[in-house]
Amino acid sequence: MINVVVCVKVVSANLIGRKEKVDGIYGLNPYDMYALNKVIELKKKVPCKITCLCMGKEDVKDVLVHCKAMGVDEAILLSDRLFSGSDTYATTYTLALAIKKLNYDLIVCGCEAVDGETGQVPYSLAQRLELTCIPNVEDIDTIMDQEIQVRYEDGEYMNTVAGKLPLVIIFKNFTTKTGKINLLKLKRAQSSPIIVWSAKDIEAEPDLLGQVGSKTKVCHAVNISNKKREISYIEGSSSEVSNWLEKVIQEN
Amino acid sequence: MDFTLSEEQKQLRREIIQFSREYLNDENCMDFFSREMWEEISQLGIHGVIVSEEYGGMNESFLTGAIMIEALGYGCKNNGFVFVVNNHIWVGLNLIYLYGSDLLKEKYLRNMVEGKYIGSIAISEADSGSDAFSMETTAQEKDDCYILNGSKMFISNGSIADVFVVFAKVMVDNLAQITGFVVEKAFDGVKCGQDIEKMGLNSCPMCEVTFNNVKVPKENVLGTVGGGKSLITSALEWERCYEFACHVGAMQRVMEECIRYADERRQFGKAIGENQAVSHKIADMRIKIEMSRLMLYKIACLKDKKRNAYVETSIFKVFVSESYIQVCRDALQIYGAYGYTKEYGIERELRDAIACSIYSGTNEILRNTIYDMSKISVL
Repeated sequence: MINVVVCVKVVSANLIGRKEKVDGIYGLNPYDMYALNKVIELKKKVPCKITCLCMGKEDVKDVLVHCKAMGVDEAILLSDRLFSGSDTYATTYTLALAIKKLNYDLIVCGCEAVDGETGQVPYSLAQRLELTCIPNVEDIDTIMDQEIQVRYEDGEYMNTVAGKLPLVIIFKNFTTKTGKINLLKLKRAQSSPIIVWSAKDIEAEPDLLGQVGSKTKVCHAVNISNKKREISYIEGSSSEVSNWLEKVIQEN
Repeated sequence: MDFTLSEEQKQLRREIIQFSREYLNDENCMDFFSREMWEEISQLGIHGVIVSEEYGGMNESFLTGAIMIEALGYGCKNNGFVFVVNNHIWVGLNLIYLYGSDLLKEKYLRNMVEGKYIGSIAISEADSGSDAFSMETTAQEKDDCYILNGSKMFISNGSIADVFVVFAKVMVDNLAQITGFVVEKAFDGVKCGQDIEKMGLNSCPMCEVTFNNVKVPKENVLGTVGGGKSLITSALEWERCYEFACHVGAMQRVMEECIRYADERRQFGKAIGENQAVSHKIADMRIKIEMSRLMLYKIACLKDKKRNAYVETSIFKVFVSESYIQVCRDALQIYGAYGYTKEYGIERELRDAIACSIYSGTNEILRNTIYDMSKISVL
């Protein structure tokens, strides 16, 4: 039995082209959905226990119930006021502590989240867990005797590489489709509680959590979704064009 | 009766809508039955909505079932495919679940819940439609079997079905008594005719099914010998509720499309929705939808309480079918020339809708039923 931990992020539904009124407020990050689908495919071939690990508010539980209806065995929500405002540094501290409490052979991540788009979490997580990390993974070929073989993209080449477990793999693709579920599994998932871990449960140092433990801070946020698209034809030398670009970036 | 949806019911509804939109709306599959889509919906597990978990079902209430089928009609634009699913669930699988012996359930139910067998019901004949009980198909007792002979007409799911619930006359004490049988297509002597071309619901195949000296094991009698009339009555009650539940969702979908279009389409310098000739049509749609939904949930609650809802389902069927047709006609009018084109899908919706004033008992026959039952009802 391979113990797979899939780190997922729940994002706002309108970021993934859904309507809140019909589809709910939240959805799974499309990169994580792709990774999760791949792991569920793997489970059909190799005995696996899939655990989904997610940081977020308690009202994202529906999305984790959906994951369980897709075939995830266990879903753990890391939820605590102390976690709020975490940047990628604090996030990986939190995730790593939670993962250390679990049995794990394989950690699976999507390459980034559609809200933050930093793509730093999987690498930072691998470093905190002191594990090898394989990025740009397209698919898992085989997994047996504590060894995994994956295909990953490296520039113009598609490489096949084998590695000893435990390790971290990062899937490069995304899907905007909702994962296929089974309604009976959904019903069972609805009646079995989602495990919620607080900072205390993972024995975290409060000073290293959330905004306090973060290395970066969001100073100012502007909603740019209502900005109109404009077309400008720029003439002049390279330096004039770059000066113009700098000005536009500064203004926006 | 409390129709407040629980969080679980809301999530079920959401999931079915998302699933339907993503996996059941392939524009290339609107005119024929898609086996791939059938596999998809079978994996979703909707077939076993009210069936106990013992047979792989969800063991949900009839109210939750109504909410789910309404969501399916809302999310899935392929009305013919929804019709296939409903035929399979409510008058194929459901009759075996509710009235079949343990042996019959063991034989067929799990495979039907998993979608490995597709179900269908065979009542109508070429010369007995509304007058269903005048059927001429016969079943004659012989040794450990019944020998089935006759022909059934306009059988929805006909050519794709694996299991038919067939009604035939059996001689009991010198009286011809209608009896239900579960008949496999694989039995010798069962033949399906060519699919009949129709005006709409093209992804639901319909054909004639003939039975020529078909040996049906006695264990495949559904319910009791001679108990077929009450089975048909029950089947129609389920049909008139759940095969029309999806139309409530479909009307909602059409209305929302009209609202969007009326807001976007500008003529004479303003959105056409600002004209009351348009907005009142949409308001009328909403009235029809609300009334239909209330009635649907009421009937589902009655069924959850194991109450008879024959007259309620008859009223519901007439009201929803006429509302659905009117909603589609109004939608076509709002869309104007665009609505009349094939591209927008409104004309297909209207062609699909027209069928519902005919199947499950024509609205004229149902008005007779409603009138007869109203005479004996008191407040």
